[in-house]
Amino acid sequence: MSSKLTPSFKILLLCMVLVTVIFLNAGVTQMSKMGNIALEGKFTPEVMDGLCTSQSYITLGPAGCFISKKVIAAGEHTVIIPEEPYR
Amino acid sequence: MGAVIPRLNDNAMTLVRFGLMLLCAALAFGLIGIGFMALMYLLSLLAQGRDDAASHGISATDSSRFGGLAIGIVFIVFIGGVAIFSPYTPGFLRSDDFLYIWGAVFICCVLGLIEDFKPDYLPPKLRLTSKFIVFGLLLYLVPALLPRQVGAPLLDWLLQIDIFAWGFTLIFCVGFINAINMADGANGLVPGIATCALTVLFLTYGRPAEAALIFTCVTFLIFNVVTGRFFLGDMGSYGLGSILVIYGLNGVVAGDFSPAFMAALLAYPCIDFVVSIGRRLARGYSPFAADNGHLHNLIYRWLSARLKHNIVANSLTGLLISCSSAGLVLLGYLNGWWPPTSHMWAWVFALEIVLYCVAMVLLRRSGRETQYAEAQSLTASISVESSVE
Repeated sequence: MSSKLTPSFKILLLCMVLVTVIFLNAGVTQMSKMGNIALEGKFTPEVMDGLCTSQSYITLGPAGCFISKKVIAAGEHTVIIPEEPYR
Repeated sequence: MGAVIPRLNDNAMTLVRFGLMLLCAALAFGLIGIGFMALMYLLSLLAQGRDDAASHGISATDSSRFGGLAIGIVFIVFIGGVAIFSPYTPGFLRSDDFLYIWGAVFICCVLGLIEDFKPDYLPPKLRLTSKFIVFGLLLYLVPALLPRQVGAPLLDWLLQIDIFAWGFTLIFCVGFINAINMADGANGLVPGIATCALTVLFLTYGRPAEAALIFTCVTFLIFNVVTGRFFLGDMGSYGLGSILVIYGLNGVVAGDFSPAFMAALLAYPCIDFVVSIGRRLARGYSPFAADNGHLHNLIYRWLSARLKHNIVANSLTGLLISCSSAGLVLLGYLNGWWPPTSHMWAWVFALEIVLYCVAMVLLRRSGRETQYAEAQSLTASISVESSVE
């Protein structure tokens, strides 16, 4: 299959691999960063309101930001309480 | 010149479709949406796991069955990444119950992935037996998943008997996974239903696993509906089916959802499964025999005869069914028609059954006879459809 690919298509494929790795990594890092900020800020309303910055919106999008905030607010993302029974 | 113009139009259409897809993904999920789109595009190019247009059911183009693999990769990357970069500990590391649950989901995914890589490598009976063993063990090890009250007096009394509750739940779980697999026949049908169900679960619990799955399902839905050449495959349908049935049971047992609400939310695969099995048995065929008499087959045929564009007809079929079943329940949940613990949702479930039957009768009247095959694989089941088309 690879012998049939033109050089420009190979470059396109390489770019797509890079896009996949870089963008998904950016998303994971951004979500973790938001979780850590909320944990350090003790989940106060001010901290929670300020979680979605312009950088978060670019990386995670509006839907991703809403989802991340809800996960963090639910406590599951950052608070580890092994004894607490799972809901 | 005459040959060049259609070619340019084709390329332009492909570019427009690709641009539209990226725009939707970026508007909803920013850069990660674009990253996941790129991953799906790359997987769709693989020579492995392909169905050509001639052998596929209601698809008009060559397609890939690696949608489930794409969802699995991104799910693992997100849960693993967040666990590494933040103090989050995934459920299966801190709870035995969740270790067993995700172990069962993982085995189901592996069974499906083998089938996606090499169709018919595992005989259907072996796959079915494996699912019975995996879920039998899961329900034995996590008895908290066994429902004891579903709102029907006689059944509630029987569910107090451990062995009955175990057997009943086991048959329900394996049946549901097969129902999801059977319903996975039109663009956006199963991912649409899964997205609605996961949204309800996420809004109730806010768990990271549901968050990652909503992101993957919505982005996959966009890719699947727009291109029509990337399917969930067996890995996707087994994986999503097992997650939905386990989380659904968990929600019902915990008292957060009534059985009627879950039935209404996941109605289409269940109704279609029961009707399909009944139809095959009534005609003297094996319940495993593939046929093209599902409601989504009939709606697709009706639409494709009028729209003259197979991908549009296919995608409209999937979206129409998922929006009018799980989408309707999601709308009711968001607008607070009734609390999710209410048994009043049984009326919505009844309405879905009536809609299914009415659509089936009307479309059968104007359509062709259902064709059956004793084939037991995905490839065989869909080749019946293509021979009819």
